[in-house]
Amino acid sequence: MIDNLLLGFQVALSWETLMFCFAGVSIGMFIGVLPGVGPLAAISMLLPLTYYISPTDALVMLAGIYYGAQYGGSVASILMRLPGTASSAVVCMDGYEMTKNGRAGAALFLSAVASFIGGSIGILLMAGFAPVLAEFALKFGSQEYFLLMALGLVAASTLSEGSAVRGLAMVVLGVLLGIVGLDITSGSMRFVYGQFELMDGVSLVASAMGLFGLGEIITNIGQGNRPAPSGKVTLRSMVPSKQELRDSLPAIWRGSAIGSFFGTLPGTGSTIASFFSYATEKKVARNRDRIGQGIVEGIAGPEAANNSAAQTAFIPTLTLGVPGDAVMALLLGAMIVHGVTPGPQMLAETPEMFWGLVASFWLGNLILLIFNIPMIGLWVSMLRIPYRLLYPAILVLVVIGTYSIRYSIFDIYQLLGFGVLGYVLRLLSFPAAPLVLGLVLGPLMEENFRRSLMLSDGDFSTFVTRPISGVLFGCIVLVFLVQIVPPLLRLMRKTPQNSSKEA
Amino acid sequence: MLDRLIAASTSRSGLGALLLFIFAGITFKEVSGLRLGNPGAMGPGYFPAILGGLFVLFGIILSVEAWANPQDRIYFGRMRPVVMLLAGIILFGLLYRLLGGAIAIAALVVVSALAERGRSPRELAGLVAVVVLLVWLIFVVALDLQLNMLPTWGTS
Repeated sequence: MIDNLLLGFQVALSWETLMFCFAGVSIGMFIGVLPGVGPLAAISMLLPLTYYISPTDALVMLAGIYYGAQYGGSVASILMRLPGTASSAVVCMDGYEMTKNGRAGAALFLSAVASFIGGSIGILLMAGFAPVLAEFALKFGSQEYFLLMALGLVAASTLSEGSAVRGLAMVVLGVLLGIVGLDITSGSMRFVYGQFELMDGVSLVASAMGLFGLGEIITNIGQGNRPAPSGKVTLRSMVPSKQELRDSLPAIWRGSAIGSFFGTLPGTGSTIASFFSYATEKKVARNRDRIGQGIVEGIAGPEAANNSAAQTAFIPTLTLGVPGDAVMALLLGAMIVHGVTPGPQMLAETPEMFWGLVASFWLGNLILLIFNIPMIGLWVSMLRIPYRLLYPAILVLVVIGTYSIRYSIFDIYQLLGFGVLGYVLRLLSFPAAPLVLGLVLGPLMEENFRRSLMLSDGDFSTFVTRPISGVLFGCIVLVFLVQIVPPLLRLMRKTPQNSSKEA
Repeated sequence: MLDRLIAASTSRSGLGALLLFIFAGITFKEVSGLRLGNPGAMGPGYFPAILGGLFVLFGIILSVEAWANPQDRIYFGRMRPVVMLLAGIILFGLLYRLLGGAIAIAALVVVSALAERGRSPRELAGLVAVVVLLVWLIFVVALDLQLNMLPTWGTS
């Protein structure tokens, strides 16, 4: 492992890679600070730009945006009670109280330190477990891959928010959109309708930007001006007291453990990790009777949790090729575009890429810790740019970015189509994130499904008779039972008796 | 009974179910033109056919949900941002080839900016100038993309 890490640092410390890492985490920090611009939209906007750089640099930068945003998200939460990202929403409670108590500086500093420790622990786990998992995954056949992807999709769409059926329906829609175009096995066209631009399939960038980029703008337009943050945060005010430091450390360890666990599971990710950590602090923190009134544990725990989750989320994505959430799906899509097949072979075939990424994650975390603490004043002043001036520029970047991938006006209409679809889906409360997951995994799923049944001569029992696939199948059934059956039973009880009373 | 049926089918879940049935219809329409094959040797239509079946299944579940919760209405919110944003993108698509990137971007900025009321002409002009300059610097100067800022019909 030491050798591998050395190799990784060799890659990550090259000037170019370091520059992209710096650019990525800075952009991430920036969009994390800004409420209303999330990592998903930012990554889809920058995806086209990475087509011109090496795959390693591209991933280093895009990943930097993701974990950088976890750092930045807490800034607006603490200073203005506006979560910059969903995963830092829970930090508003104690963070903003600390600001009101005049401890904004210390809160920002501790959240950065907690983020760094949480992130570092996540990276260590990744470096330790990813190779083991990858080795294990080499035994997988197409049956296991198909079931693993199915499990990832089912879990991701049902464990997150909202109705499980709606999430699953969106996965199916995503998979269907994913197989649009030329079917390589048979050579027939599917869902192309005479548009030759659709032969290579639906554009991932256009779909992600249409669903998330445009969606965010539509939601945020006309929300009025944000209150500008008041007061200055000086470096001196950032020094936490000894007591604050002593109280936050145990919360950081707990948060890191919680985050590392939830990060690896599909569909849970950093938001659930930070909420779970806050709930834990409520029960076990030394100052638990004062939680919500501005105690450091309420910041340190969730911040450590969302950052460690942001790192361990890469484990299943990189070693199995199964992304746990929409951001990971986009990164996976970026890898595929660059000709890299994520999965257990990646560690063996392109070790410099995998370990370079791991090393860059840690360097990125270090950059975030060192550079961004002095720069907090700058980020705060960014918060003063009104959204009404910002969004037309964001929209133009979205449109030009989509167009520039292959200089195609058709792709702009794809963007438009996905914007409309995203709006309709939001009206009907369908979540968009599972759609992107399905879109990325769709072609892989069909391929593995076909191959499995070809190998078994059309015998469907091949999905349950092999030991690993049997376990995976059991997991899928379990998730179904837990997620689908109780609401369904509730519905059935409700329908017959109450029908006359309610109408 | 009829009241409830009408309410349920126009409720959030009812319209959701309708959307899924439409997706199922589109899928089966396409599948009908493809070879199905059999599990051991799947044709191009086999996998999409399964997806179409899943749409039907989830559509039925949502229909049951709609029947149980007919009073759950959809909320449209403000239409202005949606219409202006989409109109801006269509306009960009139409104008880019005709009049070049600068004018297309200006149109996109102005139309999308008008999604929010109460902008002065000065603010709009400033916004257009800044964004066009920004795009030119990022995409043309720094990234060297083939983005035609000026109309191309004069040059060729």
